[in-house]
Amino acid sequence: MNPRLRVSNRLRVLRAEADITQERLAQDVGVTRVTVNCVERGEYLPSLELALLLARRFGRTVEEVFIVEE
Amino acid sequence: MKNIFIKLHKAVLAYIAWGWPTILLNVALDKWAGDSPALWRAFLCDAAFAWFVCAPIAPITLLLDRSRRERAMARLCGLREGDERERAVTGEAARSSLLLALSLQTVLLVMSMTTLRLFWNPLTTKAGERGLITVGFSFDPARHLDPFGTAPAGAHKLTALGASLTPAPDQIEFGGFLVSPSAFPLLALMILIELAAFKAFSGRRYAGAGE
Repeated sequence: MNPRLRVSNRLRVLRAEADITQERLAQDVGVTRVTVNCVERGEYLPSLELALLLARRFGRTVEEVFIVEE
Repeated sequence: MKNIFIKLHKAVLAYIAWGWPTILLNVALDKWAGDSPALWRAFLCDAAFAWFVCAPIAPITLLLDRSRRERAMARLCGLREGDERERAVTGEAARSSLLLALSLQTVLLVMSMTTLRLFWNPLTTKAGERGLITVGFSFDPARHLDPFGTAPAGAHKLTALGASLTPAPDQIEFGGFLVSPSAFPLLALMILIELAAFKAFSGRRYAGAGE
């Protein structure tokens, strides 16, 4: 991964808009709640598969959920 | 037939996981209560022996069954469910553990080729001194070329800085190899197996054939 790029995400905002808990989101995309928490806080970069599942869960594209900051 | 084999395999693995106290109990009873003709003691002894016979099945299963291996790794790491982040955590932990094990084994390998000798000469010429201690530290891999000790005595003479450290008749000598030279082949084999296994598994995963 390019060290100059930083990836943030809008998961927390999208989850608040959809009014669902981390636990529910984790169940929907098939991971643990801890993983969702780590992704939200930017501690863990999800795989492409999980990023697609998360984006699809909110009806958005991956670029709308994950933002690359240079 | 296949179902019977799977159930038997599960039962054996459960016995390996939970049956190890039979070994401790059997050894403890042998040590403190001595031999006994009682039937339950014979049964306990047989159960302990069966555990020893079954024990190699666990590592072989872990080697061949990827899902079981991942579950075992996740449990060792204190993880419960095992998603992609947890697999990354266990992978990182496995990599660090491998490097730690390799470094320790390398140190032990070098120690198995290193000798430390202390020579104490209690008869010194200077008054008020209790004796002279000479420390000899030597890298001595030549011993491994003669594993059965067939070389004539003195063939592996210990030297330091080019000087012979053979003790004088009035000297007392202590020491030897830091780790037994007999551990050398086992340590070398373990290092080679670990490197080869890491190479093989990582190669398969990198090529995408591991799934």
